[in-house]
Amino acid sequence: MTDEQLIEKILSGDRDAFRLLMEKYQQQVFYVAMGFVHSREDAEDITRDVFIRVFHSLSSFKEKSLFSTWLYRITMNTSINHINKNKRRNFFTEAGDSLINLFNRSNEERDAHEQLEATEIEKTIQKAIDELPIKQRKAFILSKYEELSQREIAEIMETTEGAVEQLLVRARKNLQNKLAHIVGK
Amino acid sequence: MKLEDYIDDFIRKEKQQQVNPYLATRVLAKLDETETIVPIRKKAPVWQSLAVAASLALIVVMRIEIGSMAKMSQNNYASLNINDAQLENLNLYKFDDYE
Repeated sequence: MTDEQLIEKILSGDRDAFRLLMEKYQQQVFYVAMGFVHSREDAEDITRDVFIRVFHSLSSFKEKSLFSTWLYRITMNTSINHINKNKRRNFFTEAGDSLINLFNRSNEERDAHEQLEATEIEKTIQKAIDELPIKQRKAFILSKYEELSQREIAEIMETTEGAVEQLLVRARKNLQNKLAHIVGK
Repeated sequence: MKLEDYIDDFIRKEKQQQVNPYLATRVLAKLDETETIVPIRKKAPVWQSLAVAASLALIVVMRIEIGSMAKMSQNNYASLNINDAQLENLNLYKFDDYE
């Protein structure tokens, strides 16, 4: 069944059609959310909020673009709103994690140190992605997490393919600058 | 190991996470809670719109009526009282005329 047919059925009150639509796209929405928040619980919350929002605004979907394009836009906006809402909470969580690491470090064995180092690298990469300017971050996540083409990303971000290419180049350069010390390890 | 490989590894690990298979059920339950599952496209019935419009019109008319009643109940004693022509003639108190 095509997206258009599903949407038509949902608009006439068919719950199963909405379930089908969710099952079709939930993993994609979840990956994009993961790209923004890097936490399964938060990504699931965002995925749930996205579909609730989709349900409420489905009647305003004009079908000028693909449903998936519209869905990606909603997902990115919801993710960014979620991040802004939880900024303060994240600060305390990170501070807590750092303290726990600090206390654990002295008692760990060599293997655990390696594990810790791997975790630190992952955290550094996560932080570097999170610190990208928002447009670069959007383009990077859609390209790397969803493996979308530059044309598709351009359509989602309502810009040109050339602009997307520039954003991706700049994002890569920013990450290289921020993560150069990892390669040197 | 190149930097790109580190980043790809990180993303691969994140993408190993799978969404909860009951997510769709949870979303539908949430929508049920807010009782918005059926009327997506439903507009307010015509009689409701008409009733609202009629009520507003009635309120306007009643306000005009009440305003007019307040005006009618006004008397103009005050204006009479301050009318100099209605005041008692002070010449009455002069005794010169009666002398």
